[in-house]
Amino acid sequence: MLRRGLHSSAKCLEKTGVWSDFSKRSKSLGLASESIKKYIFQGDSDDVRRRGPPSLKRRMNRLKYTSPEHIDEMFRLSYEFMSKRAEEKYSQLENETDAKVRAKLETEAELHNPEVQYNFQYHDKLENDTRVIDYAVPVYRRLGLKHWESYEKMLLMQRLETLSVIPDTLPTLQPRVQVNLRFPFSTGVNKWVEPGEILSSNTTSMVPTIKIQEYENGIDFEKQKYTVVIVNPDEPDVLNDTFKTTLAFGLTNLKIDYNDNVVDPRKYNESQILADYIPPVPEKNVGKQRFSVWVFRQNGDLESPEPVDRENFDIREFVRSHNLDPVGAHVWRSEWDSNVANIREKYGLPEGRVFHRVRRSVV
Amino acid sequence: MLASAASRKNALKVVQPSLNFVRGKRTKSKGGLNPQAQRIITQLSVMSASRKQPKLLKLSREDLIKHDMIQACWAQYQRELREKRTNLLKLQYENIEEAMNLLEQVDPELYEMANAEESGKRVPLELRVPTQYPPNNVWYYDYKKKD
Repeated sequence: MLRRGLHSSAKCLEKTGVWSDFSKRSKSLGLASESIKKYIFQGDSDDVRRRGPPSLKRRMNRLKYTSPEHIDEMFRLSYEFMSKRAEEKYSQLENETDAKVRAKLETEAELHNPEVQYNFQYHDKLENDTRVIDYAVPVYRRLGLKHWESYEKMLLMQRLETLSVIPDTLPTLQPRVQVNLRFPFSTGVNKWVEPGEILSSNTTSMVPTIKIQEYENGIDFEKQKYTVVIVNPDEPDVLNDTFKTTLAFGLTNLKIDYNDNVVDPRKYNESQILADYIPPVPEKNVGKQRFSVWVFRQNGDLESPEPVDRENFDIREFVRSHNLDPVGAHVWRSEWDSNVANIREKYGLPEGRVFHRVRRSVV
Repeated sequence: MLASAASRKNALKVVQPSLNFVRGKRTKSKGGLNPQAQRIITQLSVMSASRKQPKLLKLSREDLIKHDMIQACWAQYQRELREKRTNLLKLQYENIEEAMNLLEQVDPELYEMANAEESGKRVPLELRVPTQYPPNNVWYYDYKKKD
């Protein structure tokens, strides 16, 4: 039976105001789901109220749920109020030429848009689905930056400091890009690695995928290129009674942008590889080794980088000579396990040493 | 000698407390509460603290977004009001300053009087006591002090 809505005359909220006009604005600034949109904007119609919020999955929970009293009236009022403010921002934007001010105005105009907030808060922030969260839009960059700063940036700095990655590799870091790391799914661990995690040799046996997320406004991605190196500062150097830094992986002249920024083997070719990936193969009893990922912004192209000394890699000299700007980092740890021998065989590496508590006089 | 020994024995007898162990005997009075009130107090004391609190407000995602929007709107409204008020105060101050500068040029003597130091003067004596309406008899012109 067809039922006529009693509130068909009710003003359709999302049809009015600047936030409903998608002729000039990005599609990602609106909600994709019709049912959620309806619940937010026409929450007081009988039909919508009877069905309950679509974000609750179980039917029983939807039926039990009652939204707070008068929330829809208040929401309507505040939506009108805030969209009027956004309209002012957009009218200021029309005759603004300064790129910095433009980005600021664009952010402010959309920051309180409930559709933007819903998209950002309840969708994956790492997988870069441009239909939902498009980091090319200034407001999503701002939200992403705040989200990163609220936890992951601090966590990264804490891990870098407690594990002494800084100053053991580079003196210090002011993180400006979010770096995330994951290993291919075939190794069995399908997740973004938390900084400082201890990974098995099987997990790290294949080339990692590195995500470099820029949040700054006004980066010219036509010119801006990136270098990534992974170094291990914990390789024992028995002759000199110390440790040396080895280069595990190096990439240069990488091109990314706000959304297409996952650096995996499809993203670079032979000429961009500074050093092939050698997986972590710690020797027995050396303890945990830190593998620190460093991401640099380049000043221009890195012209035909000469072959680097992988075994004694001086990262500070490398950064100085190529005039690189460290903008992001990551770290994981590896230790010897029973699979290391297999990895060594697979990559054609020599058999590892076994260290003992008492050092023999002859090396 | 014998009598004194007997009296000492008696004294010991008197000092020894008479304890009677009875199960369930009330040792404290319950503050004179009636049994119903006492019952409620007992029941509440047995219940855990979390059950005495009002239930946590559960919002669906959509309603949380609406709530955030309302909060943002209220904050914006308050900010605008605040800005309006501070702006008004600033304008008033600027106008006062301008008038005083003019006065300084026009009549330095009046300017000095208007700018006279009044530190330590809590309530100006010439200030009339504020009332809702002026009195019927505004001033006692032929007031005479009583001896």
